Amino acid sequence: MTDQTAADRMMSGKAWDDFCDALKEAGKIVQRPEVPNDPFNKALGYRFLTALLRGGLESTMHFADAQFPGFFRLADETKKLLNDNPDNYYQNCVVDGRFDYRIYGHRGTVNWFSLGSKGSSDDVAVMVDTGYIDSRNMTFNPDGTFEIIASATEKPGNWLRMSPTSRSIIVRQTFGDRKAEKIADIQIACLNPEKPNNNPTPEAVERGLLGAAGFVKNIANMTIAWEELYRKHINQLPSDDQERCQRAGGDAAIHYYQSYWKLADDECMFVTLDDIPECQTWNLQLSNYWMESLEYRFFKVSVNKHTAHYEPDGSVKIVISNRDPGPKYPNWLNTLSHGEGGMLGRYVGAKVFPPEMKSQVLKVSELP
Amino acid sequence: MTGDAASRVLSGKSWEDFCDALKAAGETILRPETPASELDRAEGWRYLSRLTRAALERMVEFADPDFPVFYALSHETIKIGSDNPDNTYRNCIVDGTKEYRVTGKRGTAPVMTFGTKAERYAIDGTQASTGEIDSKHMEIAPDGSFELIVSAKPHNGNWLKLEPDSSMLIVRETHFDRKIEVPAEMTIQQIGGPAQPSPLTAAQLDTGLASAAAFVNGTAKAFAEWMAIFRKTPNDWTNLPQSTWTNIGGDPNIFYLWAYWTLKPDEALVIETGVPDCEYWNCQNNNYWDESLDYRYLPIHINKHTAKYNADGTVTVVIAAKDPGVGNYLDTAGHDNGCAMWRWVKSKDHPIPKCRVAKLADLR
Repeated sequence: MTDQTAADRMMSGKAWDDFCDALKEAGKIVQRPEVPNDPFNKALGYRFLTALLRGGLESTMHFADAQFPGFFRLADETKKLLNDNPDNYYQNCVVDGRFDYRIYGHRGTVNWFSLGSKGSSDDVAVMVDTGYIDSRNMTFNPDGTFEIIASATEKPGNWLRMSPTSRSIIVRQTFGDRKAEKIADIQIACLNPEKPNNNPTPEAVERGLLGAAGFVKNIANMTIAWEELYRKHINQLPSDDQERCQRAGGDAAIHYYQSYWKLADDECMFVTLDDIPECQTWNLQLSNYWMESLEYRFFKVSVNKHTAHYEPDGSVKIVISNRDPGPKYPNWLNTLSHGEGGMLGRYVGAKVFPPEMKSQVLKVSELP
Repeated sequence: MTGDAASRVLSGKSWEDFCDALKAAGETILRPETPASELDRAEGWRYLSRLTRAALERMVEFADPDFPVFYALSHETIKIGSDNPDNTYRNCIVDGTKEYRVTGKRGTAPVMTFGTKAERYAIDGTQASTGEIDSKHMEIAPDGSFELIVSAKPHNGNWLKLEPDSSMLIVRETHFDRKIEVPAEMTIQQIGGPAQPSPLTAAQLDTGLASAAAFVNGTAKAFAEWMAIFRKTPNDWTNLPQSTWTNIGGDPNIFYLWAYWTLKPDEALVIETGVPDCEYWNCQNNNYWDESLDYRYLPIHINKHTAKYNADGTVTVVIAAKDPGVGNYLDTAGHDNGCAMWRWVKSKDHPIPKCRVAKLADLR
């Protein structure tokens, strides 16, 4: 067998072998010199690769047929990347802007949600916005049900604009209090598929396998590159390069403060927010070295506008530390024995943006 | 395995071994008896990629019996062993020496059952059922809320039995029409467990990766071996003793039948049977890898509720590339071979439906 075509490589098994080899090669990224060289951070690194692999396979193969689409979750409670927001419920969908889609469901009680259509790009760090709609400017039926048409040609009612080059839809459902709110139920159907079924072709399976391995490699490399940038201002929270954040699929309504924390066991980062602008919401979250949000199902690793304890003057004091700073500091974010990692502050829907989220490093015992 | 877990993780050996083991699992797709069509092969590799996701969820992400979380080992894009399109599945890890509380709210699926399982492959080659409870025998509040204690020690109220070596909890909800029925909501928590999960260790990751690759390999191989048996009697049921299925984790309430089929484009497999008094029955169509075909988009299964019955109360199922307009049509979705499954659930009798191959033209 010559293995000249995707079909040949399906029949011989070369496509699978190539996929496994590419995964193995991607494992070398965890061995890069920038990565903290201890068993814990390396174990997190390989687990990160497995999560990327799962999400990658979903996006490049298992939910990759734009004529038979479905919402999947590239980031969720056990798949985390690029400082995923613990206050968000993310959903993704592969679409093709040359087709029309009906998106339907029920409003739920989530604080708000948005849908953005994105165009493709060869650069993993670049996505192009092609349309946007959110729950504040949508019409709902009295029973909470709704319908949106996503298409490149304008439609009456709730319409999500696409362009013929649109390739995906990102849904962000943003909680005030995640435990108390019910997410919106959102489904999608293609209105004008051309194919009779979604049987995989050899080309699609090969593209999916190699795409997933490529996703693992690219996101892992990108994470290390970003952490290198953030290590230039360790334990500070300056306003990030907003354009870079947006190019990577950031939400246009969000102003980002991404950075890196590194603290000894007896130290803390003491953040004082005394200039919070008028905004829809804000939050600050901790992540590990791999920019995976820390375990928010079981621990307090983030704080937001709704969950924060406010000082009498309206300011917010946040303590980031491994040790519990005590009842005087209810906004304690637990670093869960990590030692170092990423962090991200967000102002959502604000019009003015402070140049930084102010902070200082103290011994926990020296907190005021 | 060589070297301790920390050094294997530090050096990257754990990951390399995982990738090599995945690659080796590919040999199942290339077994000499497997169909050598582009579609079956493409689906074979996709199947391995789906099993990889399932395995990582089971062995890496949801593997802490102190903090169990429900996940689904089969659903719309992960399919294993003739997964039932009428089912909402939930799985979670448990430790038979610990106690758990499931709290939830009953949905509208007509059937909801819970089972615990022990892996006894090393002892007698079985995955043994160690406890079963049907929601019909549970106390459920008028608003649908319920609580279920899962423990080795008997408990008043709703109780699901564990044995010391139980390691899995499975919840199966069976729908008559999943488009309109709402599944239950439920969560599980250990009673008296630690307050917080411990950080990931190198040993957990090392074991998790090795177990995940073994799961992909073992699962793919197991069903390929069944299919090698089924295909010896093509276009008819392979009627093995039911203990065959309960021993490997099948639901003891279900009578299972598998039939490998191979059909030309102008042929149909016609299945005819009387219907006994039962809680539920269904018939579904799978590909060679025993994955249910895509029930989101195609008519590939029928059940007690959705079937059209003949005037005499019998049922006719037709598996073919095109709908001849008679009986209950199940689409082959472009496949020239695959396998069908029949389930009788809580049934008085277990008739074996009659199978015959007919020309589509003769059926119209």
